[in-house]
Amino acid sequence: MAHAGKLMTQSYSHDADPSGMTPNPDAPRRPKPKTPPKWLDAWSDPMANVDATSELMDVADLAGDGEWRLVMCSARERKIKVWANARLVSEQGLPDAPVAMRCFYAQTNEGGKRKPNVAVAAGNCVFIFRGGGVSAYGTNSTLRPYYKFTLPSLPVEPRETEVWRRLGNDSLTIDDAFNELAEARDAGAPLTERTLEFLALGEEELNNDNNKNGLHVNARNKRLAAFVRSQTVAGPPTRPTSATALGVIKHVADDADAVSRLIFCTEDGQVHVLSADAKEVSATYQLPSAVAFVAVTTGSRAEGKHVIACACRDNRVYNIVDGAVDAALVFDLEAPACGLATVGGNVVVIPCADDVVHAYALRDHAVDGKEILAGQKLYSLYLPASVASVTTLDVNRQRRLERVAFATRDGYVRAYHGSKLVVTLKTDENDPCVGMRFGRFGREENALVAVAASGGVSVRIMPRRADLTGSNENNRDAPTDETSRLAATPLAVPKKTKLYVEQTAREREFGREMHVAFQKDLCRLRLNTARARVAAMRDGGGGGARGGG
Amino acid sequence: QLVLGACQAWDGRKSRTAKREAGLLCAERAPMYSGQMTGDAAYESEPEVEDDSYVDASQPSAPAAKVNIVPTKANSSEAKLQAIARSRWNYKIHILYVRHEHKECLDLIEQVLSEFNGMCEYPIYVKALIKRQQGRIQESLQLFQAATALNPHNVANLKQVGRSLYLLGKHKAAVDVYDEAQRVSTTEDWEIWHNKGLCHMYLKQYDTSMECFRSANDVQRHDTTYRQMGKVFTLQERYQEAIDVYLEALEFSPDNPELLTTVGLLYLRMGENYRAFEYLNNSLSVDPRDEKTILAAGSIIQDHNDMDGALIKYRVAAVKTPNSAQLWNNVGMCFFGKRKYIASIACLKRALYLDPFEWIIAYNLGLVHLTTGQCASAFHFFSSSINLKPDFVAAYMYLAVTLAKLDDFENACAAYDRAAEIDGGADFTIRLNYAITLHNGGDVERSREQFAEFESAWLAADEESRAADPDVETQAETLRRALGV
Repeated sequence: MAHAGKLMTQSYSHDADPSGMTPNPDAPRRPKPKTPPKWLDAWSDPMANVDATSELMDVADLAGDGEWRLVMCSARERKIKVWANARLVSEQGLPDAPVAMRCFYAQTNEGGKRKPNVAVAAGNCVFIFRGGGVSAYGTNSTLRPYYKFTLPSLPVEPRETEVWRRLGNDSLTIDDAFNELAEARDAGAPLTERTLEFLALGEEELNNDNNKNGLHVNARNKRLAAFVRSQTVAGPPTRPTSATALGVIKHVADDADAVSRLIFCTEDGQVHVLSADAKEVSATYQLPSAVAFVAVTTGSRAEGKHVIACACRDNRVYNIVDGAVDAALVFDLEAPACGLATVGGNVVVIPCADDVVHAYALRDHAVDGKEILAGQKLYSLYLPASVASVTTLDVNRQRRLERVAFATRDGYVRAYHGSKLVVTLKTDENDPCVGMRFGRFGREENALVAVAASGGVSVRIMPRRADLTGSNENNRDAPTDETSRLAATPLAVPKKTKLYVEQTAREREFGREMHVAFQKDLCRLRLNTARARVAAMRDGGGGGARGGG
Repeated sequence: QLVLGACQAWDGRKSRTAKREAGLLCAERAPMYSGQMTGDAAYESEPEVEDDSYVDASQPSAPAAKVNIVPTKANSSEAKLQAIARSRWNYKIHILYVRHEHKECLDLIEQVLSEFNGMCEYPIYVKALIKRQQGRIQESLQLFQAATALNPHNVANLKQVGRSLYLLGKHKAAVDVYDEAQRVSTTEDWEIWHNKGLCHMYLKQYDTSMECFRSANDVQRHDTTYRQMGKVFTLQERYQEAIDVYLEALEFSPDNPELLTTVGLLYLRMGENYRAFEYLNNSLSVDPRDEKTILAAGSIIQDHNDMDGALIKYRVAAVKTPNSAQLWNNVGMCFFGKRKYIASIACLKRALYLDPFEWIIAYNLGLVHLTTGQCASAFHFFSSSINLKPDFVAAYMYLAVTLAKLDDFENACAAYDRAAEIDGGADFTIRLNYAITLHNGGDVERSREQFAEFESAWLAADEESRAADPDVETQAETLRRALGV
C-alpha cells in the first residue's frame, strides 16, 4: 500500500502555456502551434502490476467527497484495489477470479451524500461492495462487502433428473440410462454438463471397442459405472451458470451520480437488469448466445429509452430496445467483436478482431438533415493494427462531447469523432494498452486511465485545447506522419563497383567480339554435346544390351 | 432475511491473520433468487441489509477453493462448484481469443481441459479456432468434431467443421455439412450462405455460388460477400458486372481500402487508367501503406512519366515489402525513365534475383542494356525473356535490333520475321526497324518491301499511336529519302 508511483503535478500546472512564460501583452499574438497539444502525464506507476482489462476498471467517487478514485480488479491476484490520487489505498481479496467490475449508483432513501456501489462479477455470483464513510481520521477508502447475488441454476429436464435418481439407487442399468439420455439429447433437450460428459464418455468407449466382445463391454461399463458413482453421490444433476459481463444503465447521462442500474449477463445468454434500488432483478432477457461485451446508450434523458447492445460469442450483436430483444436489430459481424462502445443515444461502435471497426445506428435519427434508419451501418474504420481495448471518451467541457477511443497493438490510442480521427496518443510500442477508462480522476475532469500489458498504470489528462470536432485538417494522424517519414527514407538501391563500370565500358567497345566469341562457344558446345550424344547412343546401345543381359 | 448460515470466510489463511480485513462477508440470498424468475417476483421478501452490515467471519466453513485440490467428499455444494467451474473460464478464453492473445488463451484452455478431463465444449472450440489460425487445419477439424460430440446441437460447431473442410479443399463435404447446419439452425445465417457460396465457387459452380452469395446479402450485407461476388464475376471474365458489384459494395462501405483497390485494379485491367487511379488514390488515403495499392498507383504515375512521384510511392512500399520482385522492377524502370542506367540495372538485377522466372524483368533488363549500348548483355536478357514468354512481340523486335547492332544480320532478319509473324502486321515499328536493318545490310529490295508494309500499317494506325513516338516519322523520312521511294 505504501507503494506509490511517480506523481507529475509539476507538468500539469503549466497546462495552458507550454513554454511556461507569462504572456507579454505587447507581443504580437503567436500563431497557434501546428503540433497537436500533448497529453499531460498526471501519474504513472509502471510497477503497479495490475492485469485489468477495460471490463475490470472504473472510476468512482467512492466516498462521495468529490475525490474520484480508481477501482481496478486484478484477475491474477483475485483482488480489488482502490487508488486515491496516486496512492493505493485499499486492497480487498475476492473469493474467485473477477470477471467484470462496474460502479453504479443505486436509488436510496437515505439523505446526504450518495455513494456508488461497486459490483464485481466472479464465478456464479455478483458481489456488491460499498465505499466506507468519512470518519474522524479522514476518508476511509476501504471497500466493504455489502451483499451478493447468486445466479440461479437453469431448469433441468425432469426426465434427466429421473434417470440420474434411478442410477443412484441402482434401479436402472447403465446401458438403459445411456440409451435414454442419448434419446433425450437427440430430441434436442438442453442437458446438463454431467449428462453430456456421460454420453461423450460412453460413445468414446463404444468407438474404442473395435471388437465387441464381452470383456470390452465390461470395461466400458466399468468406466461408466465409476463415473456414475462419482457423480450420483453429489445429488441430482444441476445446470449452474456463471457471469460473463457487467454493464450499467445510466438514467441521466449528464449527472455523474445519477441513478444507474446494473446489468449482468450469464454464460447461457441471459441478461438480467437490476431494479433501481439494486435489490432485485427487474427484467431478464434471453439471448441465443453468451454475452461477451455489453454497452448501453447514454444521452437520453427519458427513463427506459435505453438500448442495451450485447456482443455475443456467436459473432452477432443483439440489442434490447424498449424492454425487449429486437429481433430485427441484429448485427452480424464478419469477425468476433473485441469490445463494444456506444456514442450518444443512437450509435454503437463495434471493434472487431479483423482490425475493422463498424458503427451502426441503433435508432432512427437524423444527422445533418440526413435520415438514418435503425440498423444501418454508418461507417467503418480500418485500423492499422488490432484493437487491444476500447472506451468511450465522455469529455466534459462547456458541453459534453462523446468520442470513442481505441488502443491498438502498435502502441497508439486513437480517438474518433464519427469516422474522423481527432486525437492520437502514442504509448509504448511494445507495451500496448490492454485496458482503458476515461472519466474523472482525483479532481481532474477528463482523465484517461490506461493499463499496459506489462501491468503498469498511467493516468493522462486530456489536452484542453484538443480539437475534438475533427474539422481541423492539421490534426494529422501520427501514423500518416510515419508514412511521410517512410516516403523520405531512400531506397536501398544496390551499389555497383568500379570494376562493374569498367566492364560495361569494355562491353560497349568490344560487344561485337564478345557476341561472336559467345556464339562460337555456343556452337562448339552444341557440337560437343551432339558428338557426345552420338557416342553415347553408339556405346549405350551395347551397354543397354549388356544391362538387359 | 439474512441467511447467516451461508456466511463463510472465503480464505482460511486470511481470516486467521487479518480477520476484519479479509473476512469478507455477504448476506447470501441465493435461496430466494432461484427457480422461476419472472419480472419482479424474484424475491419473496425485502432484503434487510443495511449499509454497514458486517459480521465477523470467525466461524469455520467448508473451504470453497478450487475443486481439484479438495478431497472428493460427497457434498452437494461441491458438485455444484465443480459444475460452475466448468464454464467459469469461458469468458476469459473468449476475451483472450478475440484480442489475439493466443498463447495465453491456449495456456488457459489447457489448464481448464486438464481440470475436467477434456470434457468442456467451449474451450475445445476455441482451441480448434486457434489451431486453424496457426494453419493446423487437420488438427482443428478433429477438435471441432470432438466439440460436436459433446454437444451435437450446437450450430457453431457444425459451421466450423464445414469451414475446416473448406480450407482442406474438401468443398463437396463442406457443402454437405453446411446444408446440415442450415437444417439445424433456427435462424437464417449469412455466414452459412456465404461459406456455401465459397465452396461452390471453388467447385466452379458459379451460378449456384452467386445465388448463395445473394442469399447471404439478403440476410445481412457484408463487404466480404460483395468481394467474393466480384471475384466470381472476375473468374468468369465478366469485368463490368464485377465492377458493378464492387461499386454497390462501396456504396455500403465507402472507405474499405481493399474494395477500392480491387475496383482500381479492375479498371486498370479494362484500360480505364484515369478511373483506376482515382480509386487507387482513394484507397491510399485510407490505408497509405498497402503495398498492392502502392504498386498499382505507382505504375500508373510511372506511365504518365512522373518518375519522382512514383518513386516516393515505392519508397513506402519498399519498407514494408523489401523482397518484392515487382516493386524492384518498377523502381528499376523509374530510374530508367530518369536516365540513371546503373541504378536501373542494379534494381532490375535485384528483381531478377528475387524472381528469376519473370519474363518482364529480363525484357526490361534487355531494354536498359540496349540503351546503354551493352548489346552482348542485352541479347542474353532478350533471349531469356523470349524463352520464358515466347509470344511477346516487342521482345523479338528488340532482339532483332540488338542482333543488328552486333552485326549478326541473318539472325536479326530471322527475329524480325518471327516478330512480324506473331504480330500480323499491326505494329508499324517492326516494319520500319526491319526496313532500316535491311537497308543497312545492303538488301535494298527487301527493305523497300518492308517499307511499303510500314507505310500501309502507318496509315492504318490511329492518331494516338502515331503521336506516341515522334522519332518514327523522322526515321521514316530519312529512310524514304535513302531508298528513293
